[in-house]
Formats: sequence, structure tokens, C-alpha cells
Amino acid sequence: MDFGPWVQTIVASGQAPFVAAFLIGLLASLGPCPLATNISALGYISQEVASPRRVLFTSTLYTLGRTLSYGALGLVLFVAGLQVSRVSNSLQTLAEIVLGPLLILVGLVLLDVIRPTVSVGGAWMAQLSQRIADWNSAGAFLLGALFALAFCPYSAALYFGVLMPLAFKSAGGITFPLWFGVGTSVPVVIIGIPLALGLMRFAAGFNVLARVERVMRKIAALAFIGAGGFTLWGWLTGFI
Amino acid sequence: MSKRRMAQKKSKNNNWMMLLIGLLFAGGLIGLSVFSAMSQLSEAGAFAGDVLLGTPLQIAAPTRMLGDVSALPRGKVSHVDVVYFHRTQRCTACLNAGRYTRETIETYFASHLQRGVMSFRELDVQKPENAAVARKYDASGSSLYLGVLMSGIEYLCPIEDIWFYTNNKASFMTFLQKTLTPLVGGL
Repeated sequence: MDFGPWVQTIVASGQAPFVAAFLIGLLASLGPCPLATNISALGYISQEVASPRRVLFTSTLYTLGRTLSYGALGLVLFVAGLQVSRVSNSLQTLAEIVLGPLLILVGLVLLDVIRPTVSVGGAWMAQLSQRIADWNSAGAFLLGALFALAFCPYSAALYFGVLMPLAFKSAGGITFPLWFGVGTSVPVVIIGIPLALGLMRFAAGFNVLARVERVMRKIAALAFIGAGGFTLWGWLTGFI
Repeated sequence: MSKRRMAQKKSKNNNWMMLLIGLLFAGGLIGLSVFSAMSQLSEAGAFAGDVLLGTPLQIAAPTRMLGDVSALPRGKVSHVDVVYFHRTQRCTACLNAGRYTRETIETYFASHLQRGVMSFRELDVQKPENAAVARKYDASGSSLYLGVLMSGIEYLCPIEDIWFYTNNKASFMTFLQKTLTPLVGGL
């Protein structure tokens, strides 16, 4: 059975609204654009193979970053009653312009190709990418928060078009964006944790932990550059 | 070979197995996702400008915004505009939604188009010439709207549930046909 129509029946039944919000998030995470950001997050999280606790911590913070971003945005829409269409418009424009270059920049910093004192695309962007590359756990939070706000057309349609109208008319709807946020991070957690744990077992068995960590940093960097390129290509050709 | 070394060798083999399983698992999932994204892209094909089928509503009736099609009052419908909005940058789901909507209308409502009681438009909200229509419907990104004329009032309502069906053409078309038929059946 198709996942989308199945989610629709859950949403329409109104039986489990929080589960419905979570599933809409999960549906959003399967689109090609969230996929690009989630794959880079995956590389980022699996860098820390030395400690399973840190991997768990990092992926939790990434999830938290996403969740809080969606939650805060939802809160603003709820409280201020802002015109949804205007907010959705400016966030999508932001995503189109900023996301690709930022991903590539973080990738290059992780690779030690550029020092972020050189301001590429503005000093604030360089600083931000340095932060993300340096403090890993806090960086994961920042990354999640940022990725969440970088709306692509499909995730925007689901968040602003499906989730928010549902939230406005449901009791406890103000928490829906949080469940949505958790849903969008699930693929990262499900793939990332076994991957990191498997790598750790392997590296510890061979006493090559430091080397594996270095290699993983390179892989994470490549994932960022790849995802950034994919996003940029999508923007230039009009497909994402 | 001593027992201890045998045990060490065995544990090293285990480690390799763990790595292999981990990589296969992650690689498989990532590969599957990329493959499905790519196949959707190639299916989506190229896009060529705004679309207009049939005759959009010609009179300027007072409008009323509704949250959903189910909120429409009962009564005789005299005209239906179907408008699909999108941004200049389009995703596969958004391309699919536009194409499937057009195909649904062309397949099931061709006679309505001919008789001028229905229209279908596919409009880029970021083009200046479409700004007025986008403002009227309060559309920003990809979204499907109906403009239903009923006793002199034009009711504007979004159909948000299309986003659950953009991966499957058949179920998308069935869903949209079932949504539209009760409205335009009497036309």
C-alpha cells in the first residue's frame, strides 16, 4: 500500500491527531529535498564513531533542532496569526538562495580546504559553517534548526498546507509542529545510529578508531558537498 | 594455532561482518531513496510555461474563502475554476500534482471544459502577470484551489489532500475525480 494515501486515512479519521502530525512529517522527510539534507546530517552524525553515547546525543540534538524550529514557527503562526502564505513564501525563497551554498561551505570547512576566516558568501555564513563544523553536538542542533527552516516546495506544501490548517482546527494543535519535526528526523536516527554503532564496533575491533574518525569526517564533508551540489543543481534547473 | 589467537581471529571476522551489514543497510536505504527520487525526476519531464484549458469565470463575483471543499454550502453550482499554483522552482511532487490534475480534468471533465462551465489553469505564482490571481486565492507555493460559483458568490477553497497522492498517478486521479464530480455533476 502506498504510504501517502495511508497517512491520509489516518489524518482523515481524526482518531490519532498526534500520530497523524508525526506521519505527515515522515512523509515530508521522504521527498528529494529533505533527503539531501538528511543524508548530510547522517554523515555529520556518524563522524563521532568513538562514542555511541555521543552519536545518540548528536542525533537527539539534530532532532531537537528540527523540532524546535518547526515548533517555534508554528507558535509564531498561532500567536501572531500571520498570513501563512507570506511566511511560506519568504522561507522558500530563503531555502532556494541559502541552502545549497551553505551545505557546500560546511563541506569544505570539514575537509579543511578553506579556513572560514576567508569570507565566502558573507562573513556570517562562514562563521556559521565554522560553528557547525567545529562543535559537533551543538552544531547538530544548529544544523537541524537550519535544515527545518529551509523549506522546499513539497515540505512547504505539507507543513503550511496540510499540517498547519489541521493544527489550527484541532485541540492541542499547537504541538503538531513538534510531532511533525520528530517525523522529519526519523530517517536520520533510524539509519544513523546502526551505521555509527556498526562502524564503532569495527573500528574498536581493529584499534583504528582515530583513523576511522578521520575518514568519516571526510565522508561527511563529501556528503555535505554532494547534497549542496544537488540542491544548487535543483535550483538552477528548477527540479527539487 | 593457539585457542586465543583463533578466538581473536573470529572476533575480527565478526567485526568485518558488522561493518558489512552496517554499510549494506545504510547504503541500501540511501540507494533506494536516491533511485526513487531519480525515477520520479525522469518521469516528471520538462515543463513549458503556464497552462489554460476551458474558460475561467468572466464575471467579478464577491468571493468567500473556505478552509476546505467540505465547507462548501449546498446549492446549484454554475461554474468551477480549477487553479494549480506553483513556484518557478518546482519539485517532483509539485510537477506531478500539476500534470495529474490536468490529466484528470482532460480525462473526466472534457465536456465541461468545452461547454465553458469549467476551467483549468496552471500558474507560476512568481510571475508578475499571475500576481493578481495568486493574491485572490492567497496562494504562495504549490497549491491546488477551486473557485466555485454558487448563487452569485465565488467560493475559493484549497484541496490540500492532493499531497498524499503525488507519488501515485492512479490514486491521485481517482481522488481528484471523486472530489470534483459531486460539485460539477449537475453542470
